[in-house]
Amino acid sequence: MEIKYSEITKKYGDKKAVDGVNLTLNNGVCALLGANGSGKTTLMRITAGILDATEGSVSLDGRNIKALDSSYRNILGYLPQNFGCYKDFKAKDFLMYMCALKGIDGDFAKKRCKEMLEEVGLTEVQNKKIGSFSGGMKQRLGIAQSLLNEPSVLILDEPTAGLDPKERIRFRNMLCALSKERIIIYATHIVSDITFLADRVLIMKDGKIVADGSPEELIEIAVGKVWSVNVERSELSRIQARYSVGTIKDGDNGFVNVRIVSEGKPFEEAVNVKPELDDVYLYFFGEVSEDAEAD
Amino acid sequence: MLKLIKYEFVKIWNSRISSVVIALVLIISCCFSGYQIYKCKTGKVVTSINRSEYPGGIVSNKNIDNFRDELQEFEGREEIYETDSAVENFYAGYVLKGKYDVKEDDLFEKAVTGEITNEEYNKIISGYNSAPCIKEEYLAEYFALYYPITVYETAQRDKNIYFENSERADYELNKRIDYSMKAYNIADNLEKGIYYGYDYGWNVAEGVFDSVGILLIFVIIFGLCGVFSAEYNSGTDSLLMATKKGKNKLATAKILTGIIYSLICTIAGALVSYLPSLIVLGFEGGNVGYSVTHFQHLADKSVSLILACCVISLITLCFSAFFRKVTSIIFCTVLVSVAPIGITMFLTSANNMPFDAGVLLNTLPANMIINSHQVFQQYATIFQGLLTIRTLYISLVVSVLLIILVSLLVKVLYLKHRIRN
Repeated sequence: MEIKYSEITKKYGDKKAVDGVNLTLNNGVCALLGANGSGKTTLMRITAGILDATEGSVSLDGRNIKALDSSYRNILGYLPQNFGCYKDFKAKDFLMYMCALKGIDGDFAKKRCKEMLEEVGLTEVQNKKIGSFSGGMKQRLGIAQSLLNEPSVLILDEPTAGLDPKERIRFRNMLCALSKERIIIYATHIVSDITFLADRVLIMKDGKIVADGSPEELIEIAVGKVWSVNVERSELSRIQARYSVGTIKDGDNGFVNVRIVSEGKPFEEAVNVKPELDDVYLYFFGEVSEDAEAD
Repeated sequence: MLKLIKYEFVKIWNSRISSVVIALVLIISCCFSGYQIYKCKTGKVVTSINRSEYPGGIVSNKNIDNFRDELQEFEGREEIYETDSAVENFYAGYVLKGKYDVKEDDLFEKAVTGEITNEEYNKIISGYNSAPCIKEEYLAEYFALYYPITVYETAQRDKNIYFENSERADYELNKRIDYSMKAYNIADNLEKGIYYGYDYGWNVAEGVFDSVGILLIFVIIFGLCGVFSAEYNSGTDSLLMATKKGKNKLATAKILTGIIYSLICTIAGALVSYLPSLIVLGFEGGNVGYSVTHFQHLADKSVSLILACCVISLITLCFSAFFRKVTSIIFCTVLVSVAPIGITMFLTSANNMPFDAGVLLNTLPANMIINSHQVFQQYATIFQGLLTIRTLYISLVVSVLLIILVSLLVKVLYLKHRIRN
């Protein structure tokens, strides 16, 4: 199975949200990494067929997804960013409704709902109204609905938003098991999520794909550009203004250890270190990722 | 498709705004219906018959003289009257049967022409409840003779008025044809025979149903305003539109839900209007009526109401598919649906309504609901006089066309809407 993007451009007025993307995706997890506003969600929506590209086309195995219409949506699983639920529906009823929309009928629908509720750990609350759910529970319900029809193309836009670390790990493992026989497109700006999952990482910036490769290949880009240095705490703000600063660790005697992404050696005493995917992100976006901050 | 429709209904019932409006309309309808029935039961309604059930029959040009002779003979029997004064009153033409009836129209006319003073008029009117006239045991027999004559004379009077109007040179051609058709229909009915009889249950029910019809507009608008917009606002639209049936089939399901909802509302409205009256006041009299019978009225009104409600529901869906804000949807739908009523009222009150414009306005959904009586009995001439048809049929054609066009528009608006969340 293959999804091919040909010169995909999406304009909102004069602004290009997606700018001439050419891409081919095959089975496996493809992570779409980028800052907010980089065009990830727009590209996802075009792939899901809920947004028309201004220019270009998306095809599945050589056939335009617009022409495939409902037969394409039949093999599609989609979890939108900030998706809505019916707060007066029970979790089970919501999944049954999604089954009806996905053309899954009868006992098979009931079976799939039961399996998915188990998979995302919502069996015990299946008869509770969605309005009473926490953000994480709603997200898990969203993940469950996206998998109901055992999709061949699974599009997940920020799926781990709102999940606690345990749920996140559970979700990663679930995706790993699913990824062999299908195309999974996974948008996030949380780098650590994709380090373990992605077979391929696409970095989007200003609507364009600026880097494309396996996590290892992308890490290669940053080799020789990541530095570790101990600096005085008072110097920190000056360094942050000048360089892309990653992890900052407290040291002794008013010193801190700073990880800097820079083409050249920033300080005499700086030591070149082995890059990670976070550093690649910093390399392209020149800012501290949310994970780096959290760490 | 059925499952999708089922879930759409679940969403509508879950909506607080629609539940509140449905409950309110139900309460108002029950109160209104209850009040009308109470008025009938307690004799507070002034009409030619009052709470008197009598055997029905057929009156026509052929047997009207028999009825007149029999009535005259019946009225000559002294034992039917309760008191002497009642006999006096009766022969004076003021009061027919004391607490059971007052010939108020006649009385009023006498007051206006000066035959009786205002004081006398007020005295009779205020005392009619306690002024006995025909004994209760003779009432059924009396009305069996009196009522067919009243029906016949009313029909004759209307027929003559219509004929006179159809001859008036100052009226537009279409208006004259309308009057002529009405006169012809009544003349035909007088020839064939008009069924008369006790029809209080039906009479009251019709009055209630006309008022409930207006309330249905609001049940529909408030019930359906969130069908599309709630999806847009909650962000479920992106979820739905990426599913196999989430585009065309879901849009179709929502449109069908709107139509079924209109149907349910109309049936519920009819039940709320008719059942209490018929149960309390009696089911008999459905075939009574000299222009249209109650059965015909119910059938015409129901068809007209269903189609009008369908159109209004689709207009609501159209705005729901276009706007996100519920207030905008309600405002625009009310404006579009109710504006024809306002225009009609304005032009009519200003005495400035061209006949054809009136016919056209009456065929629009909201006017179909409120002007049903007029619509049923009005005729329009089209193709420069080649064809004269009841406006009801124009309404039906207009409604069906609107249903098709607006349904298509709803689909396009939903499929082309911009997903924001």
